[in-house]
Amino acid sequence: MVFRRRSVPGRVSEGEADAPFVQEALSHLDSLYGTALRLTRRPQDAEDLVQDTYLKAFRAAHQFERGTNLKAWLFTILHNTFRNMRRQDGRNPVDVDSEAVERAADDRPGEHTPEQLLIRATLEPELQAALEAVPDAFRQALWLRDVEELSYAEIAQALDIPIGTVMSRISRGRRALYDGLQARRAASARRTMAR
Amino acid sequence: MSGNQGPDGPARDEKTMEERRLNCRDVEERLAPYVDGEAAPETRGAIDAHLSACPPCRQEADHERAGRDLLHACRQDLRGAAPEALRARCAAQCPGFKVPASGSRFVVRRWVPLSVAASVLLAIAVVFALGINDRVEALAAGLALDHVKCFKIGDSEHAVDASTIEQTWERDRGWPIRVAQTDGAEQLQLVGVRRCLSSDGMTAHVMYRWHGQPLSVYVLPRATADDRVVDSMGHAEAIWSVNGRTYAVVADDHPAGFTHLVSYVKDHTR
Repeated sequence: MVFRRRSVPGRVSEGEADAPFVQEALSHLDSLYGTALRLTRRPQDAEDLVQDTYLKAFRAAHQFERGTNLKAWLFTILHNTFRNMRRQDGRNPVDVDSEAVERAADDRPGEHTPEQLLIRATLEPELQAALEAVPDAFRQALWLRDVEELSYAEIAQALDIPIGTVMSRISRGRRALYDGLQARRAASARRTMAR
Repeated sequence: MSGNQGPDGPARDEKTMEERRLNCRDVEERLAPYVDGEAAPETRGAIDAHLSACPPCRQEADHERAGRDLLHACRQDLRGAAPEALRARCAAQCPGFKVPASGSRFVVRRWVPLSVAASVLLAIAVVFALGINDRVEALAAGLALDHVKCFKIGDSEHAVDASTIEQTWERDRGWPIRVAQTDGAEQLQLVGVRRCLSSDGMTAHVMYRWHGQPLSVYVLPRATADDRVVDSMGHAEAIWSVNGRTYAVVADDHPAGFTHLVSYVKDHTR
């Protein structure tokens, strides 16, 4: 991401992150945290990543262009920060598929309604597993598109990849998700039949 | 893409096979915007033509659409919620900013209506139990779910003007729709419009009360179906395509006068 320091109309003044900007930025907290959790797979790392993202966003508030998508801008900072974290750890940012998946969201009891638990109970074994099995690079693009509703161009900026690659990864990710679910459904049906 | 055998099965010679591979590859590269309804009209037409002749690519497109629909249906649950303490810590990253009192908190979803939860489960069942062999049936099922969900979430009690909806939709979404006006003789009251997310992110969901009961008219920005009346999960649905649009009328149960009402909607959306 390239930030150019220049003063133009429609931008917040340097050093200033006014209350409406902060409020709107914080309204995207759930989205940023959910995405950070998918990226880091550890609640503490996700919280650190999100906190770091907000720190950078507030410091760079004067570089945000009013009228553009603040959520997409925050996602760009989040992913840049994540990639830097991975590089510092000496790890490839998207080569973490072999790691065990920690179901961090379930470690916070009392935050879910029965209806949410009902969905989770059904989704956990299949959708969650199938989503986790989608290769990281595809899942990141898929997540930003179908869960966070960013445009292709915004995703290209956030992930720092060409827009054609974004489309291709979304497409492959969706099909991998569907095929993974089908395979899990079939395996589950075979187990039931064998009983 | 999958077998890449092209429309006519295995290729007879190397050149033909390569051409067909390129065709399939071209389609694959453009599949995401196509499925999302964001492909340019000429691209959409070219892909439609390829898919109608190439079963492997058609299957890939159907699988991609099913994967996307499932994520859309489960979007809110997948997002989850951030810990409360994190909100305060993030706000503290901006010196001088005070988090408003809890009464004026930002958008935090705490409760999912059971009807929505049930429709998510149904969406999964539709994708896997019904299958996607019949695309019109799958479309009808998706629209029936959206019809139930949107009216459960709530509609306006007041009549809305059709031309206002038409103008607002075209301005915000970039493509025009025709909307049938409120009509006292038909006992039809126009109450609102939504962007339908469960079946296709580009679909317009025009909401009515008909004899006081929920009635939906959906408009898709592409032609997909011949005239058809189907029964989908306890809902009567009439689906047809005209002028590059697909329309669907969805009513609860099987009310008397449905066919007449469909004729009225057809006459006023041409």
